[in-house]
Amino acid sequence: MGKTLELSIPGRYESIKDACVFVIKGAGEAGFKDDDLFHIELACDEACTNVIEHSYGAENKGDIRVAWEYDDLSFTITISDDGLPFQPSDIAVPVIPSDREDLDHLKVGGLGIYFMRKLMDEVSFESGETSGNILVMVKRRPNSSQ
Amino acid sequence: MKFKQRSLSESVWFIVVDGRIDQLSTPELEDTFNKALEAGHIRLVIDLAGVNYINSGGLRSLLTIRRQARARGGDVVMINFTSQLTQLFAVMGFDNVFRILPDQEAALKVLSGD
Repeated sequence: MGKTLELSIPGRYESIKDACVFVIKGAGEAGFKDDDLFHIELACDEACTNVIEHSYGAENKGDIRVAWEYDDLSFTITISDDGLPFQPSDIAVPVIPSDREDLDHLKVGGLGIYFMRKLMDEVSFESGETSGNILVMVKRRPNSSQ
Repeated sequence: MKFKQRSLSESVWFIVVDGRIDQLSTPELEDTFNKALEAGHIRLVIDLAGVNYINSGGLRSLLTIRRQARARGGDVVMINFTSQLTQLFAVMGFDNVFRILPDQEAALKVLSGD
């Protein structure tokens, strides 16, 4: 049995917490606990921050729509906006050196996307031709075999 | 976000961070650390026992602080991670980027060059 809920927040940093609380409430219903809830909250935070910084380019430029749903296998977060089409391939991929003294070679562009990809099982982006983006993030439910 | 600061030795400065590190609190975090560096405290021990949330912007700030401290001839070590933070840094591969130590004593040894 599944469930779906949606919330719209203003594109402001102070509103991101509301989106995260909304999402982790759903994740809790879907059976996630402890570190998984923390990771889902962070992924939501990074996604909303990305919308403000990359799609809208600043705070107060538009709303962010957040929806979650789950079925027997997975929990899915969908985050959409009306900002500029966002191409994740345009964002640099972080390079994290294995030597902690080698900070000169550490590049941290695109850290938000890196977080999302590390914390969730699937992350995909879809952009409109002239405006709007849809980000879908999926995490397999606890005890799901697939 | 709250901070407590004091010296641990003649050359090592101690900053306790308490609160959530996110997009809202990062400017205050950066300001606090920049002021410490400008005051000449280039060997910093950061206690994160009171931090159970940090996003990528917060990580970027901690990295910048470490770079700035090293550029001035110092360094930054972090101590007292919660299990949540320890796990997050490991998942992200950032446990290889920062010096993360168990406690003040270990941090003092590293920063004092013992």
